[in-house]
Amino acid sequence: MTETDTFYIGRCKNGHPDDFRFLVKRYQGALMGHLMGRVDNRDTAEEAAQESLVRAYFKIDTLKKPDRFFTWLLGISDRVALELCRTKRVQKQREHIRIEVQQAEEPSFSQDYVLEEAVSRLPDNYRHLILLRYYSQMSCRQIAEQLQIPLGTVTKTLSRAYALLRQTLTQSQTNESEVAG
Amino acid sequence: MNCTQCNDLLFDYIEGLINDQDKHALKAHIRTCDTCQSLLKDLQALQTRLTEHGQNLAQIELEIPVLGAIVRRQKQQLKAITPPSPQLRRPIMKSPITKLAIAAMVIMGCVLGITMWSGTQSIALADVLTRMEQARAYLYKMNMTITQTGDLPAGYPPTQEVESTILIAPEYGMKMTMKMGMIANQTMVQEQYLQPQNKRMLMIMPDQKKYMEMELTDQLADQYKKQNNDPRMMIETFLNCDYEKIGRSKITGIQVEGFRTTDPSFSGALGGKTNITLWVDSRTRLPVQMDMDMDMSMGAERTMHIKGIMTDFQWDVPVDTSVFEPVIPDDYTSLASSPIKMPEMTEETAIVGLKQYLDYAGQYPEDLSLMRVMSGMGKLMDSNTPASKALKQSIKGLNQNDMTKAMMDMMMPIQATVGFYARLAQEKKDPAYYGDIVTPDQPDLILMRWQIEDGQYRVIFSDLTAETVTPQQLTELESVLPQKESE
Ligand SMILES: [Zn+2]
Repeated sequence: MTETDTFYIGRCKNGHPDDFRFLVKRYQGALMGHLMGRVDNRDTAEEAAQESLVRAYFKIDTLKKPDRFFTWLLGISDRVALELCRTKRVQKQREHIRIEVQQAEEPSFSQDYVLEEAVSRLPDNYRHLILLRYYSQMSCRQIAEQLQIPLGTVTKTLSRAYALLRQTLTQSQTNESEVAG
Repeated sequence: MNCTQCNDLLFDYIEGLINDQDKHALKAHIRTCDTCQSLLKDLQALQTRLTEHGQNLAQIELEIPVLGAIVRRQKQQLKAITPPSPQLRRPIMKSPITKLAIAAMVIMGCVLGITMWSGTQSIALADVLTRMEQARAYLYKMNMTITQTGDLPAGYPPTQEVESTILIAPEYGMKMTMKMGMIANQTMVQEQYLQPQNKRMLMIMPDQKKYMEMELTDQLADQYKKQNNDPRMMIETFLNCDYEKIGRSKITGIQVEGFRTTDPSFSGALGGKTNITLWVDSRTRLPVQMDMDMDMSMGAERTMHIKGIMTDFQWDVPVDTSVFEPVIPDDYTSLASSPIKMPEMTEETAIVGLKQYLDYAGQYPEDLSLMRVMSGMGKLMDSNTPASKALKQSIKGLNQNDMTKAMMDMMMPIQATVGFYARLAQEKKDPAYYGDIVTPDQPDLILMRWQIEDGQYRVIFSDLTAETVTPQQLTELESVLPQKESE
């Protein structure tokens, strides 16, 4: 898993479609993290993540800059998420089902919705790095290498993202306690 | 260290990215500064929260479902037949000549399939070959632009595009989808299936709702089982030719190494001026692209230029074997009344083919390159030989299928000659053919020769008898040949 995206994309185009698996492994977490902020439950996110990766595979020839794979993939997933939500909404209207999504959620997953919400509100450049670092479990060095930016830029950006997250989290905490009080 | 300096380093610290010196200074500051200490705790808590949440979401294995979905979607794509465009669907093969031309194209496709990649088993040097042998099924694209100049038959487009997709699974066979611009600007889609196990080759034209079955000989079926028209043969044939390394380059971001050959024996069946470049991935040693550039003369007044590119190689394509066993829809009709038998390609059948050509054309073919013989096929029908007249008489009033069958049967033996000669050329058996200077009324002159074991030569004389001769005897035989007019 130490090869660059560009390397794996080259392999995919050059007769080794199976190597796409490495890109799936690398980005599935980050992609899920991204999609959790776009759709209303984990199952839909998973469905969207899968479909986005499949589409990315078939569109890989159109990707001009292989080192921008992640951003490109997120772009694809945004469209997939939109489509999915639209279909699901129509489905729900048809079935006249109104269930609170969070109630329908599998209880076994302890979801940190507050954090998720805070992450989804981050500006893109901060959010992408958070996704790669904590959802795709890449090290700061790997991120720097992958995105071809200095390590210092990665840590500065993440540090700033922490500051923004803390701000949002403190605010929502305050709001909650106000509501409670 | 003051608080600002400390703040700047805190994130790097929790990520384990600061050096020992900074770490010591930072720890020292934190021990004395409550603000920074509580900030550190906050950051660490957030880090834990992010890590846990991230890990929770990452508890997902998309690899298998994604690859599975890709395989399913790919299968559908492979199965999908290019939809026929309605405005192009019109009856073809009105006249015997058009029909002949199309039949010739069909056979050409088959013979090309046989000869173009049928290298010998001898050399397997490069690791390129080894790498390819490890892959299960391959897919590649081949695009050709065929430009003809000079005296073209009416309705023949000077430029034709042929786009093919070729899928090969060594154990099952080959599927080739070909789209070509045809006579009178018609597009023709042709699917070819090669099933060596069933000794069968199947050709389907979805636009016309036609199909044709060809029976392979044991020889061909065996050859296919071994070689299966696959790109490995292309590499092997390449390695058999004189080639040179031409250095590194980049193709779609991939570092490649180039090999070039101008050895005409590469394209045995096609003959003519040849310039082939093969690009191999420097890292994986697998082919990335092949550029083909071939010039060939098709008689005094016509030349054909083929520019082709093989690309988009995929080496580990998951395949469903049903792809190789097409179901022919009920409303499709067979082009020929019974399966066409492909000829054996031996000395004997080569002689039969020469005899056949002579009977119909009244002379021997000027040369034995596939294109040239094919382009001369029309002449066979038009000549005034008894055989030609008899054929024309016999196909009058026949239904289309029987007519096609009759003409295919007439042409097949000639294909055997062409195929046999092409193989001799590819196997570097030092073949030569003198049909351009030797006529049937000079029975003692040598018409064709090739090398056999122990440096001996096999010779076919103009009376179509064959003999084995020594190189000395061959030199004598060739010294009495008439001079070419051009020389
Ligand atoms: Zn301080």
